[in-house]
Amino acid sequence: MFVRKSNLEEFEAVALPHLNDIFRTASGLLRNQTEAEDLAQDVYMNAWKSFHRFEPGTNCRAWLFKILFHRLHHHRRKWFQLKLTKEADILEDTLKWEPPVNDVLTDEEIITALNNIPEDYRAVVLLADVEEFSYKEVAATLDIPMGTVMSRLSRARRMLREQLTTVADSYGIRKKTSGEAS
Amino acid sequence: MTVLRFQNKECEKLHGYIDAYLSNELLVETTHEVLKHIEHCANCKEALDSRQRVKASLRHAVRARQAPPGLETKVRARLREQSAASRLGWLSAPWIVAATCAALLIASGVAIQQRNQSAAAKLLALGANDHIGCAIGNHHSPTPPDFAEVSGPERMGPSYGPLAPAIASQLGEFKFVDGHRCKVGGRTYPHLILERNGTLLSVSLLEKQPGENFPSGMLNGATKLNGMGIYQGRQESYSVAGFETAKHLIFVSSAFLDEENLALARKIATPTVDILRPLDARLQHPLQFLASLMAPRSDFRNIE
Repeated sequence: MFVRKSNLEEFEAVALPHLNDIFRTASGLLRNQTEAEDLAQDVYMNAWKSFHRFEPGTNCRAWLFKILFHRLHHHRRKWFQLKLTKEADILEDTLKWEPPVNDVLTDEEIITALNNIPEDYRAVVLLADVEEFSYKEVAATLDIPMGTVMSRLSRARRMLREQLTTVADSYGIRKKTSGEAS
Repeated sequence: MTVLRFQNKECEKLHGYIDAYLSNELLVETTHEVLKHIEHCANCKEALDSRQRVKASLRHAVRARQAPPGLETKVRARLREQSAASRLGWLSAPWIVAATCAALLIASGVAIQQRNQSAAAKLLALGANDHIGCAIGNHHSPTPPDFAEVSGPERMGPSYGPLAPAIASQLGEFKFVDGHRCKVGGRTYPHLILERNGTLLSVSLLEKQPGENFPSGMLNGATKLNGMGIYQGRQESYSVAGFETAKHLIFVSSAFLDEENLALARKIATPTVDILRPLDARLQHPLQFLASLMAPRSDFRNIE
């Protein structure tokens, strides 16, 4: 393998511009700012350790996100976390809900709804819809097949709409649809 | 909540494209097909617009979160420390070899414990997934069914009817939400959903498949009740406790703290096992059943 001499200034120049992206995704996954800060630092320490393997000119942001999920997995293992099995996916297409979503929800209400989605689904929606990675990049980052990315994204979006409907209901601001009694 | 109704085949086809369209993953030709369709279909246009609004709002809300001002400085400082340490060559110091050997010894000592933890986690995931997929995912009945109906043999399955009143009587502070049979991964099993102050609690009862037993030996997070092991784990932000009889796995899952979820599982364990005991006997091979009648009375696997 070609190994080049690592250079801290070069690493900082290519990697640090993505610190904000890494932090906000870590924060979205962990739902805790202090833990997200720790995880973001851990990502950069590990990225620097393996920077000699990074090929200049390739996608540094995608590389950092891959390390983020690797470190998150490592972090989770320490806490006897369970792995989500495929059975959750099987439930996916049992019903097709189309909840109406009110368009006056605040950022805080949207974050609350997002936080209520299971983590595997939250990860996909954060990468695809917020960070705007392609399906192929999401699959590579999470090390899952493209088909799983597509099904999780579809379900995550539906769960988010359902959650937003619940939030709207709790504030009494949801629009009633023609199918519902007033 | 409204069930989506497609006006015609074209709308149904569009529904299949919506997610890929939102992610800009469609071929140019298919994108044109979608655009052409929504020109004359107000329902599909509204569905698409609504999803685009949610996506844009989500992007805006998450991107509004900025890294704290001092984080970059902290990262730079730690990178410099690490870089300086590497230059001193501390990684090749002899003590690191000794420390690695010690770590390997400790690791081998806990390997069996970890394997057992992992086996328990795999079983507990069955309960947690049912809770997340059915109770949290709103795939249960929107209005609670008649409690008497749930207590009968039809809804929960023969012999499981008495579970609803037995469990509900132990969890008096909870409201009844639903009782039905869930179908997940080719298995159907009774699932009760209760609620307290907006927090849902699931009790799922699965007939064991071959090899599905909690591992022997006490594990981290496990407790005992009358000689029966009650295991505890987490998935996402949900807590799941599990225990077993000879032929059943019983899971209690919720978003309560681990201690509270475990306490709730302990509350229902004895009456649940009492109801499952005759059913276990019926599920056993006749010879096993005869042997169990002759053997000293023990309803639970000894996990010690």
